[in-house]
Amino acid sequence: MVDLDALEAAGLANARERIALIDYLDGLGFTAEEMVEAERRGRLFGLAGDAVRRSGRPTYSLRTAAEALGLSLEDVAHFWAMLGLTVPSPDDVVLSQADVDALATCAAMKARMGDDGGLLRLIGAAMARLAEAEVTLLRTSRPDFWITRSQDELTTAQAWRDVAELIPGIGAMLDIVHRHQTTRPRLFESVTVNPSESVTCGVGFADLSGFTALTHVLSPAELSTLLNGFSAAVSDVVQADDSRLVKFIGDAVMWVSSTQECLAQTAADLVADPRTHESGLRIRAGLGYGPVVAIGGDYFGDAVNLAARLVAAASPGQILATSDVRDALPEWCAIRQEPLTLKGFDEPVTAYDMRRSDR
Amino acid sequence: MVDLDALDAAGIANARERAELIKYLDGLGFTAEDMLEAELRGRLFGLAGDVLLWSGRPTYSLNAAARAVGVPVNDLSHAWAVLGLTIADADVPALSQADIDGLATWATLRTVAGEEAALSFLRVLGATMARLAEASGTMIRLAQPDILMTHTRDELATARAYRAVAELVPGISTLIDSVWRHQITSARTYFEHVIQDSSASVTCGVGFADLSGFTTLTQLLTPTELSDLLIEFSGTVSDVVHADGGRVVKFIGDEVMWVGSTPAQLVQVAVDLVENPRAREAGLQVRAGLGYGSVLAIGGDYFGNTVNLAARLVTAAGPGQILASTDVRDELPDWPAIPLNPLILKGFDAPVPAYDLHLSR
Repeated sequence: MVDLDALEAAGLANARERIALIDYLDGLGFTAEEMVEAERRGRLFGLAGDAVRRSGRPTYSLRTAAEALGLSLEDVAHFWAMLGLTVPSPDDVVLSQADVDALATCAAMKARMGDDGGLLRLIGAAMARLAEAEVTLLRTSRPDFWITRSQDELTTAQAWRDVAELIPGIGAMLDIVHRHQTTRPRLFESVTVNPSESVTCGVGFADLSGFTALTHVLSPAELSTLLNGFSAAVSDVVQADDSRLVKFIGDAVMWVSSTQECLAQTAADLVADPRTHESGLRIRAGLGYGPVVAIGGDYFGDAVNLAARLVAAASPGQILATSDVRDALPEWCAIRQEPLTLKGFDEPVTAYDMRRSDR
Repeated sequence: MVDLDALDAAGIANARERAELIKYLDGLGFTAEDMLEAELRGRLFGLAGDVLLWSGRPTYSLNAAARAVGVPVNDLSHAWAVLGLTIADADVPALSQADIDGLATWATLRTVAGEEAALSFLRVLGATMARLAEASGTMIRLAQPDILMTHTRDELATARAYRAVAELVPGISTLIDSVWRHQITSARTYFEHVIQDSSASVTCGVGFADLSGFTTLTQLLTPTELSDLLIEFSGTVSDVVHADGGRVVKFIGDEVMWVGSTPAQLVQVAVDLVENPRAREAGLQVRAGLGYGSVLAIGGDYFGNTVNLAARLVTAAGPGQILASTDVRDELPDWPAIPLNPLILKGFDAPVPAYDLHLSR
């Protein structure tokens, strides 16, 4: 039985009026101290979900974590910041044992791989992006999740608890996907023969011509459907053709392929994909091939710059490629274009309009 | 004691010449079957490390996994493909118990959020983890070149180096899970400040910043110089954006896109980026473009007019300049701003008014 008067005296405002919420939390096994502490953070309604969301009971502060790991407070705070997380005050008890184990890994990576934080930042950015995607998914499917929407503490407490129960499961899914992605047959085993950042591969860009104009006239729901459809179609085509999706940039997509054949194939399949025609927009593509620098899962260099400029110069439904791509594909039908003046390139660039030849 | 002749007869080529590697694997407890199976995949040298990377022993075929998760095999196979992963044969064991548990979460997600929404999330998840796996692969190759057979030309040396690196993987799993859980809180808190309703629209500030003249730099610098420059730039930018309470959405080459919940925060990030002493020391000039308004938040990315406008403004900015839209300017009446002649921007029919928020200071 909960002592409402004692809770109120301890700082839990209007405990009597919030009895349904307090009973619910009590039923889940939360103590009076935990409720008072959550109330202090203004998140009594969040307690039930927060407890499932977190990786364990908070038992360490940054300072005690640093002591436990034999590291300086600055080092630990720096790791935390590089992961994209808000650095708490040194004596706030907010870290679980799992968090401390995670910090131990940061230290081990620094010691064993000389990593100065590049990988930590990548992990932080990747998780931030996924967390946003996840929260967006949940808030649109379970709007009661937001106190501002439900205006009822108990309803939000229960909705947040329900969806928070998915978070550990998704965490486990991240782990298996990471492991499979790390061990899957390497797309670039053939191209990454040296321990350097430099690889030779094909780079493709494709976008929906006329998309910017469309964003002025479409409703958010229409825009959302269009973009989801585009990204689904593109992801499927790129993967089916054994290319690797590098990133989406608004309505544009960048991918890499290990050969010119595979690169051009992916572009042709993207342009021909019936799902991308539904919106009435046509896809266009720009292709380059050559040595590029692979950093943090992204690619840099002349071939990338050229491909990006070529897509901007292409007409709807057109595939423009550099001579490095064209020369390796004698079977393809290639129409030489008037040399193009491209931003960032001093000399005019010769490009080819590429089509699969019909046999 | 390992029977090298038996291994040779069973299919491990030149077992005698590879006795050192085989002894090393035997010492780690691998059976003759394990070694044969690895040799079949052409990865006997990788066996010691591969097992640490696996999510567990493959015990489920795709068909068995579909039964265990309680979904049609075609749905499961599609979900796996959407994650960017492939299974060639539906009857060969390829999935571990941990994989089944992960796929069970997808099945739950699908009932909570719907088929298409769950698949979209898997797509983001697959792309994000693929990128992470590739980036860490590149970093490890650079730090520990011995993990490449082409580098050592010695199976045992590569086996040992690869094992040593793979020993970090369970720790990286813990790290990913911990960061994931904290980032959920951070994303939730951020959205609490920007949402209007239960649609995918939010009202927030969108910023782009890049290095002036980067395309030229990619033609002048060596791969190592370019790599150092970009790592330094992305590190500095992440620190500045996070310190000012913004969220990094993504890096696009030398360009960064971020969001902030208030116009003041948005402008603060831009000023701190443009005035960043580390960029200045390196002789690099940063420029920025800013928009504020309703945007569509999908899968951790942002779309809409406000985003397009900010992206166009950065390309129109001069070195060291911060160009902002009228929406940003109107929210910050006290911030010194110089109105520019309306700009002709790609994708916008009418000339767009813009304000310089930096040179005015």
